[in-house]
Amino acid sequence: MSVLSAGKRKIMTLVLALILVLSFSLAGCSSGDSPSDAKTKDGKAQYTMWTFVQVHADYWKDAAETWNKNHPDEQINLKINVLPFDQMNQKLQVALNSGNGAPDIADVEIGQFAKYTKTNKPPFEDITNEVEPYNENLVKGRTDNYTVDGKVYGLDYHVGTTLVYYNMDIMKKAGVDPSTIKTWDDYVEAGKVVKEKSGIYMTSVETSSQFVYTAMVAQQKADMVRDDKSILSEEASVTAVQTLQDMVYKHKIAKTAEGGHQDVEEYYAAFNKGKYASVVMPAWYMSRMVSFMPKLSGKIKIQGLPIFKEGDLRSAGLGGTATVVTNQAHDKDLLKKFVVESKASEEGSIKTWTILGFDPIRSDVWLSPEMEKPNKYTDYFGTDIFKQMAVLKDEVGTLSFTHNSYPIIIDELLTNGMPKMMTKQADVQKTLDAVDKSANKRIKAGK
Amino acid sequence: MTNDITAQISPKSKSPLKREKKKINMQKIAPYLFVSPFIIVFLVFSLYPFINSIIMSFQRISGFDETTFIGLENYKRLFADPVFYKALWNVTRYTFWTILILIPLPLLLALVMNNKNTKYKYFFRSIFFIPVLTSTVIVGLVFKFAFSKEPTGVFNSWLSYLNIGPIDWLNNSGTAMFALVIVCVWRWLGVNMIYFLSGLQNIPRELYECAEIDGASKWDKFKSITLPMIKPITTYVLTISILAGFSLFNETYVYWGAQSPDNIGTTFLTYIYKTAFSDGDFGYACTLGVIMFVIVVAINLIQVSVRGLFKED
Repeated sequence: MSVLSAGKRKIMTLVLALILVLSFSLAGCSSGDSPSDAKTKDGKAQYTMWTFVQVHADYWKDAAETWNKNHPDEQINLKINVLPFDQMNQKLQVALNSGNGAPDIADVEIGQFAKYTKTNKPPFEDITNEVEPYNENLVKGRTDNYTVDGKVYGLDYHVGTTLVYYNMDIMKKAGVDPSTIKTWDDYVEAGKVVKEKSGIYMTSVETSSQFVYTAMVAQQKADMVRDDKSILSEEASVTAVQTLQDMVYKHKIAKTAEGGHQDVEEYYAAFNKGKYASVVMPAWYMSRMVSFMPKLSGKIKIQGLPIFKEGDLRSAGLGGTATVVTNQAHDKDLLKKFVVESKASEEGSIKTWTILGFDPIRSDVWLSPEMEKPNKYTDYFGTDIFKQMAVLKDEVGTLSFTHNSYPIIIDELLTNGMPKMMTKQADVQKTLDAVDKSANKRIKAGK
Repeated sequence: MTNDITAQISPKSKSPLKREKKKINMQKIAPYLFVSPFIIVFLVFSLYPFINSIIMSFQRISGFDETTFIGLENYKRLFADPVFYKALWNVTRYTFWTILILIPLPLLLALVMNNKNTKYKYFFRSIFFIPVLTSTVIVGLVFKFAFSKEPTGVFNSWLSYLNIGPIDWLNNSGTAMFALVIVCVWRWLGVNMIYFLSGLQNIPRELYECAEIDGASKWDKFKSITLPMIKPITTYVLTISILAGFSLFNETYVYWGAQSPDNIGTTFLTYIYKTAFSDGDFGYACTLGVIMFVIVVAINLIQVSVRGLFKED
């Protein structure tokens, strides 16, 4: 009667059973994100964004509201997911690699950007044309960081102008006026006075991080990579490390930072207690001071970096996070306009200060009256923060932070270089030669 | 006639047989049906990635849609890679120390806990088990601060009473290994104790009674009854310790992140993680994964065969 033979029927049963089981076990997978083409009930186009900082989400929520106010025909609704740093980066990398599942826009930290430029075909949208009208006001080094082959792929939140934060309680006690410190030699001499009069270290050196070192290399207008090769053993880099090492061993005005890093809890506590007279960190360190070093409110003076020689820059832009439009975005043109307008317009740029406490990427707004309005930062540092920073605006150096070999070079420096040189007084030139050698070997192997 | 008979008989005799056959078929299918959710999940989420990573270990993957087969290039690179040997040396040392401590010590504790004269047994069992319930990351953070190089760090302040230190714990190979092993022992002592305890409780009392009648000493009883009887447990603990040792990640990642001075905290997994997610070198990361798999399987096979477990007892 049956059309199928017994054997075939057996197979059919098995197949049907399999389909049944499969449909059950895979049911959980289908309930993913709703498609971004969807509109909300009130007719706004829906887009997704990934970031790893809660306050960045607040900033973008505000940016979307502003956009909707200014563009009544192009209403958007931004769904923002805040994920932990590592997790967000892994997810984004996998999603972009596999060609689906990526958000429309995303935050990419400067140190992570390099891995996306490995192929010279970044999985992000080119925003060069959108950025163009704002170029004259943007701090150039900041857009350069996210430029590959002349195309801009992301816009940063801030400049990260590196400053020296002096603890004036200690400086006054030692009778040293920071404004007389012009060169690193002056700084060391001042440090000796501070150490002698108060017994307090002038500063700290990092062993598991490289902010001060990179700032020192950048201010000499040098770099860490050239022609795809690590060049840490060249003069500028050796001078930087030697200066830091001498502070510890020769002049004894510095010690290795608590936790090996100036941006960790142990260090905040130490600096708050007045264990150091000064620290070199980017402008975003202000937020750490406000949150973690309440004792020093009203006692910090900020100033540009000392220089090595005439012609050096007095600052460097360090750290950063770009917002990018991914190549999987739904309405690319609209989102590119949205991202650029939110960050580079005058209004948006000022908000990176008022909401996030960053030094805006548009240096022309630094002196706008908005920047002096009282907030938790002006309460702590005084209202003239940007007046003091404005003198540095044309002296912000940068490095090839987003060169695709940069992560390997930094990794080698922090693994085989800094700890040895700073905690065990290893010979600077020899160590950096070795770091170059092993970094170059790795760069070559990965090509 | 005969033809007729067969014609008559055969349909009759065939149909019950057929029904019987169908039943058997369903019975045959049912178990597969029941295990199929696991099998499918295993195929999709374990076997497929596993096979794919073996394939990827022969490729150069420079990110987005750019993959090229490069034959044994990755493997050649691996055998010339000093960091790989450093990682191998680190995990081997770590595994050695954890096994050296985490088998005799929990066994001793289990013996004490199993002794009928021990007071507050249940209380102590819970105490030893509590560390397992904590999160490795949080524990790692606490220990990281405890192992601070500053004189105010917990361990350094203890040592200061003996006029030793301060020691830069997490910056030297030996002390760093100590810091890793301490966390591991603190955390897994209780679990291993429970394993051994369950083994001890399964040993029939009669064996000990017989031995006592024959005049065996406590040591004789331990050596000739307890140890052989808990052999399966020891094997199990040894195997999972080797697996855990070689896949060490959390503790070292919390202590140092992906970069440790002179690679003193680099393990297979941190190196794989770094290669894949910070260098974006997925092909080489897969090669490391494949080699790690081969090494762990080899060590466990050796361990099991040396201990004679393939022989029928």
